[in-house]
Amino acid sequence: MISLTNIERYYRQGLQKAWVLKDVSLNIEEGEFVSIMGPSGAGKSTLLNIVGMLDSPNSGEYHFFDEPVHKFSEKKRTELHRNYIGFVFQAYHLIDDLTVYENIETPLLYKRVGRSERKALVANMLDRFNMVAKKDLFPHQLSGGQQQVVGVARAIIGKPKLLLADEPTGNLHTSQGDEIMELLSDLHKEGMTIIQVTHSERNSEYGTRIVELVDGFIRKSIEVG
Amino acid sequence: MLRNYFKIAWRNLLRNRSYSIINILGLTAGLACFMLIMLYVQDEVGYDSFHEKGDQIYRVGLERIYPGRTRHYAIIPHSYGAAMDEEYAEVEAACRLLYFPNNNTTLQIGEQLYEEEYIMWADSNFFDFFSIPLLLGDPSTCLTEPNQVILTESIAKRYFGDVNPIGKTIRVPQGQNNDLTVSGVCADVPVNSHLKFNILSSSASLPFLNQSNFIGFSAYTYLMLNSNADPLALEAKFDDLVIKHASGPALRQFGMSLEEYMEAGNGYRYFLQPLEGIYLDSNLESEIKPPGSRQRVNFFLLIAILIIGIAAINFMNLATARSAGRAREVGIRKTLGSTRNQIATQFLVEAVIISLSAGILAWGLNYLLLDQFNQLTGKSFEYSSLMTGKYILLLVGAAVATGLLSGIYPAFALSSFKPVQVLRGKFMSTSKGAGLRNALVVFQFGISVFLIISTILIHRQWVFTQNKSLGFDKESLVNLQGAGGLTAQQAETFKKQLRELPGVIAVSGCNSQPGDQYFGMSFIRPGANESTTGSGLIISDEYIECMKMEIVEGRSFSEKFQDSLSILINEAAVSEMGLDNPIGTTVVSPAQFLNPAEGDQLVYTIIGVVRDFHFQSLHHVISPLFLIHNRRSFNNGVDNMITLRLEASATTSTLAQIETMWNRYQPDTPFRYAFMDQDWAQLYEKEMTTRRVSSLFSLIAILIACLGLLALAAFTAERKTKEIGIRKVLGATIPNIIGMLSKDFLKLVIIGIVIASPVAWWVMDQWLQDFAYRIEISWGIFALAAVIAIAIAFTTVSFQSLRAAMANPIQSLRAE
Ligand SMILES: Nc1ncnc2c1ncn2[C@@H]1O[C@H](COP(=O)(O)OP(=O)(O)O)[C@@H](O)[C@H]1O
Ligand SMILES: [Mg+2]
Repeated sequence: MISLTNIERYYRQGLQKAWVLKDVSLNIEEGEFVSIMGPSGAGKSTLLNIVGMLDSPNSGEYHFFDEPVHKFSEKKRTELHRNYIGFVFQAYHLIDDLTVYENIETPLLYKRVGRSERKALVANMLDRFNMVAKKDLFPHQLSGGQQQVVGVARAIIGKPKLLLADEPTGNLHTSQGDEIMELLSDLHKEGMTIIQVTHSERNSEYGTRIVELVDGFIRKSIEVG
Repeated sequence: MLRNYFKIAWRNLLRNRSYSIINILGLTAGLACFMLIMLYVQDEVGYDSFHEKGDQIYRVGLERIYPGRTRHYAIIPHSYGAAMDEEYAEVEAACRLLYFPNNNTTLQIGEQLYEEEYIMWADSNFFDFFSIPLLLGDPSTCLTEPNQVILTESIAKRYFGDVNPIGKTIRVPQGQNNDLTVSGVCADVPVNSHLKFNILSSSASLPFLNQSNFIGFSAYTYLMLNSNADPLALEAKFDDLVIKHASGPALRQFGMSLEEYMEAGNGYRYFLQPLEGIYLDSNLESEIKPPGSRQRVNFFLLIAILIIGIAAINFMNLATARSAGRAREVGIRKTLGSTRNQIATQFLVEAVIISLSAGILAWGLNYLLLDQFNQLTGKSFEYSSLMTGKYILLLVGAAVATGLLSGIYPAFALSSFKPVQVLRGKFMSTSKGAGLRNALVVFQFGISVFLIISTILIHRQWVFTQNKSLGFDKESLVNLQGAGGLTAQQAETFKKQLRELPGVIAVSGCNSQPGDQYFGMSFIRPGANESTTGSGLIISDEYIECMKMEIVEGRSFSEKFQDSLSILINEAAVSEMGLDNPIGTTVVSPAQFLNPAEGDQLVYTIIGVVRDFHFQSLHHVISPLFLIHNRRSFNNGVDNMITLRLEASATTSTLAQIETMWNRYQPDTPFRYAFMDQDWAQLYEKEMTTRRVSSLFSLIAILIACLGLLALAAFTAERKTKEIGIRKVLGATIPNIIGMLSKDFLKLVIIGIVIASPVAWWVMDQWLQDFAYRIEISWGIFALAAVIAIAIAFTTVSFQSLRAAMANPIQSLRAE
């Protein structure tokens, strides 16, 4: 599904190049649940952003379902964001002006899903995550854990093939974190491909594989479970 | 999707309430001013646009060249119209109008007397030319016979009530016993026409029109050209026509051939003015109505656009300044699959919602302020003018255009945010648009300074015109109009009795007052080959003293002398005639009324020189003036107008006594009086409107600019809360902080001043060129404008800075 070959990413700092990713190659099959681990500043988020097509590598090739991402137009990327990729962020990143219901609904608007179908899908999602009573609240009226639940709901309502989560539990207490991890685990069992960035050994064990990134290199990649 | 855009826009407006209010307030004020000014401009530009054949009709104007100066007349010799019609194939028809200003006529209907000022005489094809509907009467015969008159609807109503006036008789008690017959009723002449009359009489009623005249100017002459005629090509042929027709009369009038006369620096150049441009573009002598001014219309238009521009800039500045706050939202939406266009659309929808709300409020504001605006401009707009399709279309168009124009940059800037940049952990603050924002603040304050400078200059010029010594004392002078019905003897005793009234200082007679039209005339020294043309004024003994004019040489008219062959001239005439020793110089004039019907021309002697006084507004240079004694006037000692100087303490009872006296002498003529100073102020009505409008709208423009600056300052202070806190903990004083926050803004304001000053200098120098007598533009004015602008900006900014500087640092630091 995802095939990264010799990916390099650096930032220019004056005349020097500050390397973030050096020669990263990685293959991920459909149905995997990969946890990327590593120290702070190792380039985990950068890697995830590249996989999520929010950022581009300076060199290397990236194939998504055997199509060359590095040759995609802006339009094509937007198309993929609408239909194939969902994001969950550490800081939740809900839209402040929208209610829980509307936040979850937004991706469907961009997918041009009809009104009644939208209603059904959002209702389903609210039901599944036990948020029906909270659907008219605004993000600031929710706890962090609840906001992240909305974040996950919003990420998956468009039925993406790939879910990318950058430290989804980083801002949460353990118990709230566990709840989110259970959610991801359930999604994985339903067949979704998931890549998460995490600092926690405990959370990484929900996945099927752990990729350890140090100083822009993949140090090891081990199958678990 | 659109619904969604609206919903989000609405929420955003509510959530950022103060921001929305500032934007909407600014745009409302901007749009309201814009629309009011546009009402005014449309009205001014629309003059005479209602004539169906307007694009084929031209008026013939005359550029009269005299040695050393040139004057432009709206009236031309009355025989040219027919000559042009005959001579040129492209001229389909010619129509003449005649109007004699200050020539009130008393009309009698039954026993009732009416005083009528606006009587015009027209050729019989008037209604073919001008689309003023003839409501009653036969268009083919209503202006063909002598003494036919057409009344306007409201005059007909006033004179005859609901009775059909056709065929009714109107008597003219003071005339040559010619009764007038009503032959038609036409609609009232629209206000937005350069024409103005209440009664239209047939040109056949004026016998002098039967005599050929190619020299003396009297008739407004309009030509109807065929639709493919080239007016410029036609104009070029007029010179030959002048030679063909004016040569003979010139020889008789000036005692020399037309060629010699032209070689001596004289000339007649006839030109064409498109009908629709007459009101705005033509400012000739003897216009029917005070003309408008294209320059003023453009100036107002400029102010209108600048005001809206300033409001739009506020919008852009606040939107980009706040962009950091919305960057995250943009990033999220992009990861959810939104395209850049969708995001830009979202912001544009927000902008248009704001500007449309402002448009609706502006409409309400126009409704509330229409009366005041009418007072300000002297127009009379009805509420219905706020409902016309044109108005509403313009308002909606202006609102949407402002919204789009001011929203497009922020939309473009905000939608360009990359998710990776703005979603990294906590969002970083961005300096996006800061450069543009600064440039726009410079621009705004440049405009403000420009407006301040022009307002000061307009005001100064106004004060100058009001205070400039006119060469006579216009205070406490009263003119009684319509004294022409008295015989010379009656007038003498009437004046003597007036003089005895308490509160009356002096009484004299004249044919016209400063500010009104003086007739044109010329004199020539016997033997000289150049006659000097100027204006003429007929006055009685004591007029010079009564007006407090100054005699610089010689003496003024006096009953102690037989002055019927004496004249006074002004200093301008002395220099134009090149007289070293004017007193005692003898001159002759071709003017008919100064000479016997048969025999040689009479010789006049200059007995005194009057200090130049302004008999026209300060737009005009003082030109040669000849003052002739009323014993030598066509009225033989009769005064058209009686001028009285009252004591400054004179009261209405003095006027009441004068009225009583008047009614005893002239029971048939209504008592009409006017104060000289008020009439004189009328000459500057245009400037007064310009001054009022420009100062008011400049003030509004500056206020809107300040509103924007206030918001920007608040925004900067908010963004720097933490920095301010840290600095205070480190020991910064409140003035330090205010200085830090204000410095950047003041820099921008000063750049604005530097850029705007030369522009203002150039524009206002152009404006002042319109005045023959004008103030100098001094550097002090720019300094004053700069001080005002800086003071305003500093007050605005420091208001916010002070709040930020006074805040407790512990609070602001804990918030992080
Ligand atoms: N826009 C940028 N400009 C310069 N350096 C950046 C930028 N984005 C990330 N970096 C640097 O790249 C490195 C990796 O960042 P990141 O991928 O966020 O690490 P991680 O998520 O593993 O903590 C860090 O040293 C960071 O400072
Ligand atoms: Mg990271």
